[in-house]
Amino acid sequence: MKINVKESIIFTGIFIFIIYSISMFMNSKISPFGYNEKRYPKIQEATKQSDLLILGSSQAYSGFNPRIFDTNLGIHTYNLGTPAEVPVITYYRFEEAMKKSNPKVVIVDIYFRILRYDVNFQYIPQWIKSVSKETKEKMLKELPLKDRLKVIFNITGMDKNLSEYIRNFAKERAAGHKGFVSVKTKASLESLEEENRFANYTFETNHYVMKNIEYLDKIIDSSKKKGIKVIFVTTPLPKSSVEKIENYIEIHNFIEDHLRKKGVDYYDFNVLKNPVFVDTEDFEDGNHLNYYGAAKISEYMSKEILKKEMFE
Amino acid sequence: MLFNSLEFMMFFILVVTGYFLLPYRFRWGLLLASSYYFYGSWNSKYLILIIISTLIDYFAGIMMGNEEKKEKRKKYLYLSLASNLGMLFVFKYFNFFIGNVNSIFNYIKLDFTAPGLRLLLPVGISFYTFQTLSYTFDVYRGTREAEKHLGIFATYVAFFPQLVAGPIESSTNLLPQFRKKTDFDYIRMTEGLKLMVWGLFKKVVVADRTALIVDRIYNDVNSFEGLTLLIASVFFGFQIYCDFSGYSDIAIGSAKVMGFDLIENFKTPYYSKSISEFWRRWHISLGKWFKDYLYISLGGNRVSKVKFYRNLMIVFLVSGLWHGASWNFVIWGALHGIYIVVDIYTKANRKQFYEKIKLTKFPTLMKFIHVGCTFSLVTFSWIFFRANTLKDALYVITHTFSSMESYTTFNGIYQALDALNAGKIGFIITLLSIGIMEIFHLRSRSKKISDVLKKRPLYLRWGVYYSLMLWIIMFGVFEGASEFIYFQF
Repeated sequence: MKINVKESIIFTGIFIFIIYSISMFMNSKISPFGYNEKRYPKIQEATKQSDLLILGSSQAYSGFNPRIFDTNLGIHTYNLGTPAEVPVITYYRFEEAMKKSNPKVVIVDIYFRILRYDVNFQYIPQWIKSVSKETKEKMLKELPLKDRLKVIFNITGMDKNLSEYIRNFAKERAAGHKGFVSVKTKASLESLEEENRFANYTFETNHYVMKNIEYLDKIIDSSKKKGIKVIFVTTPLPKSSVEKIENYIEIHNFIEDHLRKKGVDYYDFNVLKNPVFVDTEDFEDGNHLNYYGAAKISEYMSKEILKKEMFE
Repeated sequence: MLFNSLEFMMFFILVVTGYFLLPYRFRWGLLLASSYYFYGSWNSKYLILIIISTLIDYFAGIMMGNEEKKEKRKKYLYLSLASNLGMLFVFKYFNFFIGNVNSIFNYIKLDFTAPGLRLLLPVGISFYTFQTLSYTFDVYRGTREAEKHLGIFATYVAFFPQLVAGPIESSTNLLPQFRKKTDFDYIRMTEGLKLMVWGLFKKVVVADRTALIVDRIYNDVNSFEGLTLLIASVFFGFQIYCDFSGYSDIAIGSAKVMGFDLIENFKTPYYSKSISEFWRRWHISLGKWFKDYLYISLGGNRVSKVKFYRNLMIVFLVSGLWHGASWNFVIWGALHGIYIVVDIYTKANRKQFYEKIKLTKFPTLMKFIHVGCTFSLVTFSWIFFRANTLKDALYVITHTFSSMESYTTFNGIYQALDALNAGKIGFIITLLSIGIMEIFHLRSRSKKISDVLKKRPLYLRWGVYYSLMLWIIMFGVFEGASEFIYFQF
């Protein structure tokens, strides 16, 4: 029996060691969002001197080009977007950034789908790479125990990681100027129709994860306390995508009503009456702007900021 | 609580620890409480049904035990049959029955619609009702004595490893094991754990990976044709086998850890050389139940040829209906019945034919052809099993070979594979996983794989275990752990 206990411990110990080693290797070498990892050290550095910060998910980092804001407003802008970032995480990253910099304006991108997502362990390794140990602990606490374990032993779903790695490698994304990540690939109408991720899509507004809404409020309250102006933006989707989302207006109204009550500006480019003409060619895929689309949105938003004298 | 969840892992560790720490006489109590907790984790209301079923059959068993004459025992058997099958009818078949009645009304243009019931099908109801019925049949036939200990009997009905998807255990095999004094046995525990890991591999790697492809195609069949449909149908064969046999392996393995021996439910059925052999190797416990309690009651093969074939057809039609309240399952059952009848009816002629064309001189080739034909027939029947509607099933059958371009040209094959939308890496991993499973199957056909490995050096054994566990963790589908297909039955 004694020998058996010893054997069990050795067997388990070796197994944990193997998993942990593979996990470490995978995290450092074959992580799906390689282009993002290159951004994070720069993010840490650059946020120190930013007047305008952009937060949010992939719609944020592919939809706002800091160079255009800098040129139009004569300021320092940095794009802090991370993949599939939900408002809970945005809040922690906002707080982290505030410790290092003193921006006057913050743009928070709200991709409508993230309001329905819980904190997803799959992206946590990405998020925690851009924050301090203290914020990392706070983020991890948002996860259930089993997901926290998955973060430590991050080797599940390797086929997706490998596929994503190959896909990103093939796309040769620009590792980003001041956090901006974009491609110059132009989508075609056929490809948007064919690969439409919103086909048969239903989004019931009563399925919002209310915790995400609470954290949007926390960002607003914290900004007000710090004297920072916060603007919420929903970057445009291709027309063929919006058309597939039956109750888009309902979703828009929900967010707009909520933000109006909190007294903050909200720009939804899927609803605004043609403020910027975005065409199929301004998109990389069914839900991300490409370099050209991002330029149009950035031009428009910088002019809005100028018009509202936010840096006065 | 699913076997492929972290919750079950924690639950199982706690139950096993408690089980071996408790004195023998209290163990049934722990098993009963944990089994009810396990079952109640789906919906606590389901527990009422299982408790009612337990009490009625316990009472029927005791009363039958008190009667010496078989005739007098009959009324209690009927009570058990009426209550268990009645419950099954109300929860599983009533709406199907009403739906058909309404279709007839509609056909004869009668302006009346009978209302259905809004009831949720309790998980595994077909399994535990059949298990408890096997007990009343055994007591009625005098094969075993009535169980006097209500707690032990309730544990037999609700034993958590095999409660929701079998193996359906006969009372003569499982019930006595609850009285057996079992000490912790390290070798047995590791054997059980290995079986659980193997079951988990089949479920989360093969079944759930193939399910991603199968579900996508079968939930929208009209958008596909040709090779894409064929791949989805073949993959469903692997999915259902791995889903169900994976569950059985985890069930048998977890019971083994606690010292219980459950019936083997699958013996590499896709290597069968005939449909009759397939049914001796697929869902063995259900086949045994139907043989013992229906087929033999109907007269089995000790009747005229016509009645013998009739008996076979009845068994397979009922088996189809047991799987689900839908015409798809009835057709699936009927197909297997027809296969077997034709198999038996033509056996002598086929043998003559093989001799005539000298195929018997090439036993390996003959075996290969037989296995291939059996697999094709089974795969064909799975179409009815998996399709959402009869219309979908007919679409799959009529469109699988409608576009020959998808089989014969490079571009067609590429497009058919692309339509699976599985991702190149994902598809390769799925194929590799099936390959790994089949290597294990081939190695363990004459001997259990654990026995084969036992003789190998430690580094090789551990290497195999580590590789298998890593493959599960790295390539298994864990997001939103999916239910086992057979839970719905």
